[in-house]
Amino acid sequence: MPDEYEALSVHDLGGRLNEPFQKDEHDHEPWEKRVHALRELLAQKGLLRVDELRRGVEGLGEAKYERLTYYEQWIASMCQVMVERGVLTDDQLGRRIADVKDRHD
Amino acid sequence: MTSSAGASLTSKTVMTDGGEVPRFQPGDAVRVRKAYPVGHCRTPFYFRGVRGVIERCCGAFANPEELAYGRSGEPAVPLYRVRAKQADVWSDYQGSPRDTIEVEVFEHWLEPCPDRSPAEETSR
Repeated sequence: MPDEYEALSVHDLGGRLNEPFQKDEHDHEPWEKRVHALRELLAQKGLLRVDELRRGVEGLGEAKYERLTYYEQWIASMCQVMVERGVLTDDQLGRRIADVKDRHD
Repeated sequence: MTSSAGASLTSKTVMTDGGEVPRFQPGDAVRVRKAYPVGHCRTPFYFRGVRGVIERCCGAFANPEELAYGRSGEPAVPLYRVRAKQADVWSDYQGSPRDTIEVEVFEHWLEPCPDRSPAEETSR
């Protein structure tokens, strides 16, 4: 393989897949719709560009990229960008996630 | 935020709204640079190193590679639709030799490409 394939990222799928494309009509879960709405809101407020969201998803790394569903990838990316931008701190995010987890466990 | 695409799609000389003079015109022979930056870019992996021709200038847009990191992406960069032969993209292509693919590529990913010599006719 050419050397440049060292640089191939998990999202660089063009020309690599050789399997039938699976179409799957399905409704989105309410939480997925909320994630989508949140992205729209953040964009309107100038806090998240689609390019940042894409960069965050592309940068998740192979393990997470493969494991997370579409909107889970969005959430992971949005958290990354919000911390980078200083909208949230990592500490705030971590504590809130822990609170919610405690309530549900 | 992108600048509007004010380019005429049929005129020989294309100006973009932002006043940037596009480097390339429809019909120009170009080559997509072979580069593998670590950040976000919109040039498909499979299209790097490919030779083709400019089909049109699509206008100028804020650079997504910069927008991806919260920067303005200005000045806007001209975007071109590049047409290449499928056989020049995929080494194992089995379709018609006349088949083409068109991909939109930002100007900084393109280099002028001198006419191919017969010896280079089949190389990427």
